[in-house]
Amino acid sequence: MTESLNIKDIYKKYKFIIWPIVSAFASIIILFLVVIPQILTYFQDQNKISKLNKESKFLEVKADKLNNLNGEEIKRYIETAFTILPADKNIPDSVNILTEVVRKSSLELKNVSFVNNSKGAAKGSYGLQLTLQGSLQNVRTFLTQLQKTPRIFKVESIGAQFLEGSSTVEVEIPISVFYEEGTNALVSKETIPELSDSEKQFLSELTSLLPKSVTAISAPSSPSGTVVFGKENPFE
Amino acid sequence: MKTVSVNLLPSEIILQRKQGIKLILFNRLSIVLLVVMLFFTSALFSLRISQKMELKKVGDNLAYAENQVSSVEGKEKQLIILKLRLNSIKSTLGSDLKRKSIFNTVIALTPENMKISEVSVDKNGNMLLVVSTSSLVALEELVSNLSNKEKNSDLISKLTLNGLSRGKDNIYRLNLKVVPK
Repeated sequence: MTESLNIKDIYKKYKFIIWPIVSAFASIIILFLVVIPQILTYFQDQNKISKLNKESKFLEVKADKLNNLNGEEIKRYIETAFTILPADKNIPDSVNILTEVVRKSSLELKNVSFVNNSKGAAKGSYGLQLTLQGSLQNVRTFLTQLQKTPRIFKVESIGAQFLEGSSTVEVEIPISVFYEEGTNALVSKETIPELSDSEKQFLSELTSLLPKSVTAISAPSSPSGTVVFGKENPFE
Repeated sequence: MKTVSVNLLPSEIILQRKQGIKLILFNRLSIVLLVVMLFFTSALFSLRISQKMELKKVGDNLAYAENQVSSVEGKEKQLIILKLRLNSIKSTLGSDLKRKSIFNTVIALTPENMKISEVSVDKNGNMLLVVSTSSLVALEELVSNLSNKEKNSDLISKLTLNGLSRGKDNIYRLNLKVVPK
């Protein structure tokens, strides 16, 4: 009884001080434990929202651009690119093309031999040593015509010698034939692949090299978009 | 008759009451502050809740956009493969242009009354030419043609005479080295 009277007396005495103290204490706790952390988190989340918005808009633009691409046209371009630079050696095809060029240049093909000289892991080449006979002008024609073939042929050197007492020249031309094995397409979230105008122009130039009668060598397709290795050298 | 009020209370009690009024005011202000703080906190919570909803909405939009891009991933990969292939073709195509050009140009500039015995072009495009002719004029014409920037299409940087001889048959034999630019 006396204790409760004491508490009541204390409360009566200090009631005007207790409430301000409690109120100040509670305000400080609310400020430091709730308000400030929530404000900081608010700004962090605003940054996050802005970043996600930006990413979302970029992806929408990317999806839109890719959707607008003509799939058939891309497929044709790929076929062209893989005809010019195939995934496998396809030696008979390259020999056929070269003999056709020799024939069109009115030269005689005396000899063709194969030299395996692949360079590097991905991009390879092999050599074909040609021995031709004919006039020097026809050799010039042959070299010019070589640029218009639907394969990449690189003339390594030219060695011409005139036959005794004749205007016919015998020419040794080592030619490198290029191919490139399967490549993996690495998709990046931050870029939008596009064909530039110069690339489209280049593709139309390459397409003009393909004879209409020749069936384009199709790039083997797979769902993952990778290109598989082709057949091995039939000469081996 | 004028009334006069006299406060019979002692001055200590009056002072106490004045202080009491101040304390009451202070007390009420602190309660108001607490209420304002609570109100501000609840407003902040409402803002955070709406922000969370917006964050979720933006997250859903992003997931949708990612889905859209995934659906055309095949096309994207094809395009990347095509671009890589084109780069490889570009880097290889025309890498032997120098050799072919120098061969064709020198042969074209060789006068008709001159016989070419031997011609070779190495990997760097350096050309060795062995020619023979009975005419000094033809020799001069050959050297002049090969030295003329317009005629040689500015392909030749150096012309070296490795040998010149005249045989008993009055045939001039010339050994030339042509270095391209």
